[in-house]
Amino acid sequence: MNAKQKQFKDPVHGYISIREDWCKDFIDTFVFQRLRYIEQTSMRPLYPAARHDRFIHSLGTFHLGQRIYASILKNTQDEKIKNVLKEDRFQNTFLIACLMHDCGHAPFSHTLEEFFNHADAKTPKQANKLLQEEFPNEDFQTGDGFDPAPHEAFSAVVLNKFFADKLKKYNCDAELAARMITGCTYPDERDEKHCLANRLIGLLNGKAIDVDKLDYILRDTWVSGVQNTAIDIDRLVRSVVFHFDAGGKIKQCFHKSALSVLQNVVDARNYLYEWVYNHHTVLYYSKLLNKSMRKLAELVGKEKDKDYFWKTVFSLEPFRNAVKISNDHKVYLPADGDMLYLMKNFIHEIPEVEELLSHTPKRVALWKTYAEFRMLFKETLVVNPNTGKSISKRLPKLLSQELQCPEEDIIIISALAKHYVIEESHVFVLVDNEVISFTELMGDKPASRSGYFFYVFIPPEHKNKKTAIIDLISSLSR
Amino acid sequence: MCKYLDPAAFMVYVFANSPQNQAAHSLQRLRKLRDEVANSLEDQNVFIEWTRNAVLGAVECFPDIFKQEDTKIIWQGSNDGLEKQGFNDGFSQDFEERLNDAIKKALELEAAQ
Repeated sequence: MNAKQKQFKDPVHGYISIREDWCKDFIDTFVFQRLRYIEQTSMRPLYPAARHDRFIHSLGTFHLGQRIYASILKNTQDEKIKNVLKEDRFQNTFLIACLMHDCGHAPFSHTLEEFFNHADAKTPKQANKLLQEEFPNEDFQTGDGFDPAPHEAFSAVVLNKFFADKLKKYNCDAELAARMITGCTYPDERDEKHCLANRLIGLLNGKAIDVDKLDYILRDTWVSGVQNTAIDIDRLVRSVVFHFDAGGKIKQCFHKSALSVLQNVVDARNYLYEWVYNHHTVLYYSKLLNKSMRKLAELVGKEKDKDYFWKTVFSLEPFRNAVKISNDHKVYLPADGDMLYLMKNFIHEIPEVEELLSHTPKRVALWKTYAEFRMLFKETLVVNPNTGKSISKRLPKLLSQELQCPEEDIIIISALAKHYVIEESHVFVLVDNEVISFTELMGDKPASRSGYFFYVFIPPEHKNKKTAIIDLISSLSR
Repeated sequence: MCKYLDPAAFMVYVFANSPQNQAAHSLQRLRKLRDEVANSLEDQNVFIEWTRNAVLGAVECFPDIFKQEDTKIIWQGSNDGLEKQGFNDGFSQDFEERLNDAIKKALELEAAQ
């Protein structure tokens, strides 16, 4: 069906075309428009131009999904596979899942995402519990046996709760859409359709290269202005194909002509993790925001029960009605602005809010990169990360004694230096009609440089004690 | 307030309570054990995180004690329980006992199936 299209101008992908009826049924809704007011990342304290949001990322993910789906239909030789892929149940479900994959994301995205599931609340696993209630007969776990991330579980629930009639209208499979959003494959590839469904799940939420990751890598690079590895996205998108492997299983492959781009995707993603997402300034302001929210919840909780804030704001209720947060405040369709407004009301009770709003950090980082941490503690904490973890928990108290300052003045932020390496079964390449794993084709896989590390933030007047503090940490770890 | 266990801490306790000859668990099995343990400790309001990012992050973070091989996690630490020291900060003795008991019970249940 050649439906009428609407065009969205996007600096990353150019024009994004979306069916008019889908714009009306999905995009022009309270739930989807909420995403315009949710920051995509926490990098803005460092990269002021990074004003991109979950709305444009969702459109970008849809756009890449649409283009890749068209490539698969064009490149795949097997007629039976193509006919299944042309069914609404697969095509519409995949494209709508791409569009809606973040529709339940938390205000301030991943910085506050944990509050869906636990945080300080007495309602752990709330997001997964809701997902189980929505699909009671299904065990939502990824193929390897993991829980979906909280924002994924919540987005799947929001889609099913608020768009069930629309999913039905376009012959979508609601459970498959939820699986695509959460990355939860079917445990049993008992027939071709289940196998194809799993490949499509992997295309939206997979282990290595999927449309969600591709959009955020391109977009975060563009908005931050960093000089990242270039990705020839057109070449990559045009190369996607479904093909049977030697064992008769359907695999999602990239044509060999895109081989060079595959490594670039991995390198670009690793660059962002190492130099942008894990930057000390980005993590510091995320921590301030997170701490502010916890304190806000405590203050609001005083008036009602302790968990009241989490239970109301991070739930389905404010998607339906304005919910009362305190005697003076209500929240409806929670977004970044609502959280900021609430925090501003408590600026005198929450010192972190003042620090956030004035962008005047009250602490400085003792080291500023994972590379420095490795250099400083190569003989100790890098070799024994569990010791490092233990020490990082004790440090606020120890350093407050050492520096004779309140414990609250010391902030320790733990981080994972992520260095992704393509694993054997993660990416396949089609070479002269033969499905070969990327690792087999490229030879030995490089060693991962991932590792646990932490930043130490102290009041600036103690910065001259840096050497003594490093010595103290080193002595603790021996 | 809920008690939060990250996957690294949970796996350290699972391997510490596993029979000496069982140095590997599949991820699926670990998830089932997580469910059992979380149920047993429901009155303690325990949250044991098990998302892909958190679990694989834990394995990458602590290569000296965990190794991933396909869908299995292999224990590389010692058997003297010393590794637990890095992960039991903030646990009361009572909670640690309850956690150990719940894991043992879950392992027995799994073995019987």
